[in-house]
Amino acid sequence: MATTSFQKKARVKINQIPGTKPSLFNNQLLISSGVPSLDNIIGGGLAVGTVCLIEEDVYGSYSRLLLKYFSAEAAMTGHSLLLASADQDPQLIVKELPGPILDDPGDVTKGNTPEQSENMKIAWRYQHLPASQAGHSSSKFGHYYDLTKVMEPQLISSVNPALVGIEELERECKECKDLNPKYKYLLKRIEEEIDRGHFSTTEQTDKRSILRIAVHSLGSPLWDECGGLASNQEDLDYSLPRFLLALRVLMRSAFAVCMITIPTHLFQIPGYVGRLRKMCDTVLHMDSFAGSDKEKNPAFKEYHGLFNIVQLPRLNSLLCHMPDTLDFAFKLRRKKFTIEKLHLPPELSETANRNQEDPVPHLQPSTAICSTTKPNKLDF
Amino acid sequence: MIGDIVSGSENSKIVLIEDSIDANGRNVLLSYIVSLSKITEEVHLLLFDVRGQDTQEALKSLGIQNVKVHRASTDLLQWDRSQGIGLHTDIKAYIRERLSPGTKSVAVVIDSLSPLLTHTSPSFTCKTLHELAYSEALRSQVQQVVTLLHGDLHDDNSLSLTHHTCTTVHKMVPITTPYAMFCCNTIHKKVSGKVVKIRESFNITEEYQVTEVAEVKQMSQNLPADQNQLDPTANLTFNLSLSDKEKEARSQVILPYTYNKERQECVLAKSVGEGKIFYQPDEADDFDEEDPDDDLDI
Amino acid sequence: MEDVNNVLDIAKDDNLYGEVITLADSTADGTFLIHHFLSFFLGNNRPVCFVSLSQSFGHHKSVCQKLGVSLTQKIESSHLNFFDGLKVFGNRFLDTQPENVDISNTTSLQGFYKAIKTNYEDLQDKNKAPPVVIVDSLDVLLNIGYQVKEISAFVQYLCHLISGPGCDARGTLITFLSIGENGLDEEASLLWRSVVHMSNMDVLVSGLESGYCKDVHGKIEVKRRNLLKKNSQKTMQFKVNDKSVNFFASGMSRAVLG
Repeated sequence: MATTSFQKKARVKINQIPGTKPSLFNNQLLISSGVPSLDNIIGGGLAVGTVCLIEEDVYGSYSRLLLKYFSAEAAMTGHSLLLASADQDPQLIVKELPGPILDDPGDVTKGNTPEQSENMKIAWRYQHLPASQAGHSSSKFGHYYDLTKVMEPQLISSVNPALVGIEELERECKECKDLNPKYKYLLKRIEEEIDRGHFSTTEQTDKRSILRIAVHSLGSPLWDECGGLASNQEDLDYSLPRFLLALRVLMRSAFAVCMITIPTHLFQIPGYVGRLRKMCDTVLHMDSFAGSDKEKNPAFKEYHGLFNIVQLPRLNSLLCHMPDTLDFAFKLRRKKFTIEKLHLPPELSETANRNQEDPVPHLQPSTAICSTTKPNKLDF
Repeated sequence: MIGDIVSGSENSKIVLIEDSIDANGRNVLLSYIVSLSKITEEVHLLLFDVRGQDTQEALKSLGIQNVKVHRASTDLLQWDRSQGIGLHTDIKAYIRERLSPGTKSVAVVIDSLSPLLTHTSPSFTCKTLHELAYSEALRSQVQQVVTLLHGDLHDDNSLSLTHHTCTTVHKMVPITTPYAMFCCNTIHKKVSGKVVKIRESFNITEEYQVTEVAEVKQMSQNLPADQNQLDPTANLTFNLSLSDKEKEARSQVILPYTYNKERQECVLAKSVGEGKIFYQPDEADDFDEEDPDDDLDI
Repeated sequence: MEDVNNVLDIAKDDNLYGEVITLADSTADGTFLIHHFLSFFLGNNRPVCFVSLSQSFGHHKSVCQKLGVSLTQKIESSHLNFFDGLKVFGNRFLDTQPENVDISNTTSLQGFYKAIKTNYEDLQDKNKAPPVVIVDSLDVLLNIGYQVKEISAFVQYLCHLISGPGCDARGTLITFLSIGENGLDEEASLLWRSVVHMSNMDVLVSGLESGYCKDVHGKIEVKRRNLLKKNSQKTMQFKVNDKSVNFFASGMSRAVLG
């Protein structure tokens, strides 16, 4: 029986919740991040009841993409969605969710012949999605999306996402001396959504589902955040850590998963980002090559950026998932966004030892908890 | 030096022992207490630190009678609203009240000064130290004030202000050699005005006596070159120095693998794409065609 | 966990009366030490005041179950007092009315200390052995805005809480804090040093200098501080497993030796 990181008061058969699966590792309930290759490297998926922090790439485009996959996955699994963004109109983000891939070339659709079923066992990742986008395939875990297509409006509306944009934030937030009013309002909205959809673990309900909370670019200047500094530019602003603590309280007692992207490269206070990481469960760091020297580096011509696992949560066990490496790279094709171990192209891997200059710039050793790969400074 | 100050043969009104988590100073503090218990009539020990209890226990086990312990660490900020003393207490007045009537010489020891420095200000802390040593009410009786301070808990500014108030500062440093147990850098302002700066290693016995004090010479390059230093190459049987003519001749020598003009032109004349190893044997080179590896008996 | 006890030079039936132990981690996860001590003391029938600030009860319950201790049963038998600090401090920032306004004062930890003291004395009354206070973890207090000197004073009060009036009835204090990447977070490092100065043993778990390794999760340094005797120090490497932790000398991991 799958367990979760909070006290189970609702006696519900958890393994029947669509779009979830128990971790092979410690029986933790997992959902897909929307990117199957990401699910693989973090131990199967995102644990229910946790907060995943994506440290944004400098221009934010790839982290926003991850959030879109996360949100699109809601439509495919019947999960609910709350999407908040101060930088972009969440309506727009939702309209641009990528469409699911229907017929993958490698898959076998129908037929009951033994070899065909055999194929499905091996190529299970390429098992097809329902022919039409309408409706969700409840037994699937992880889907592929086509960035050239947008998700059909009916599919999006079937999710009925709750959207929080800058206007609502500005209008509804109330003065608060403990933390940033906008963060406080966001907490309130999250709490409301949990209540409304009966996602709390203490509630009894027949049809269990998961609430996906996607927060885009939290801590950007539009949230009235000054990179961790208070208005006097000297003292620290504790709003973000306080928000994350309260968020953790909410998550630990809800069937929900929160994915937040934060432009951590804007936070210059030494040690501050480390604190934010500690207050989250899964922490991933994206570093895109766009506009940097790395774009021209032949070692990276296959990829669009680097992807690091900074921290993985240790939940309900002594051990957390320990991948082979923490350093990956990602590439974006029209139909697929993949994260994989960094492979040097063949021409380079031979000469790499002879050259004085390392074609792969020396990535500082990252450890299980703290990655030290810093985003590139934009020096012209 | 440190042995002399601890024993009292060298005078110092306010002594500061600065330690860190890597180099403990409590042993030195205890040495002072033990020594002071012999030289003065009463030693008043103020405890602000949690680990002050170690100091207290050590003194108890040594059976020293004339040390009066005042625990200020239990209710530091008056959270318990107990009757005890804490940071809020006027230490000078408190000590004055607790001096046994008729005592002529007294010492005040503080373990440690860090809570005071952390929770109040450097100026308040320095004033407190100064008052204990020099104030009218106590001056005639207080022979010495010794205090421990955790240097790694305070910023440089607070530390330097506190140092300024003291006549002796012992900064504990981690010991590197196995020969001694402790090492510290001492800055001592003598009564005459002279300042002694010295680095010493030493041991402390089980009775908390400072022994085997030895100066540790610094190996740093910061020491200015001694003008009177003898030239070590002067009195040798062979000649290590060069005359000017000889220096000039040396610069004329063409070293074997440097590029000279001829070789440069030669190389540049060839095609650019080649990597060429340029080997110019000189007379001494022995062309042995044998493969040196043939000698190996594998 | 027996191996952890060996590294810390603790015998199976040690009381650690009156001891103040500081546990810290920097670039690797050292929280297994908390669960070690929880299971160790509860297994020895010592009452424990567990002040949990960073994780939920469910998490601790699951881990301790793997180590053979049932937290719910220990609560029922008055051997364990679980203070859900995560909820208390987190709820203050949610719209819900904070339950205990005293505790949630944003600048002073006096109320928090008082609450723990009440729990401690309550456990003391109900049990023969003096209680153990375990705090996980101090950096949460730092992150949400308490000053280093306030947290340091708070720990000092806890130290005196366990030392009690009589020397025979001394409890034990174990605090945990994460100091982050070495030296980067100055305040966290300062807090750590303050607490280390108060303790007689400190343990630091950090990642390997060579970086992440799947088979060697990090290194552990144990320092005992005694007055006159030379401070003893031990350094080993470790790997965390499902129900235990393996320790080995540097470079001696089975995975490395082959």
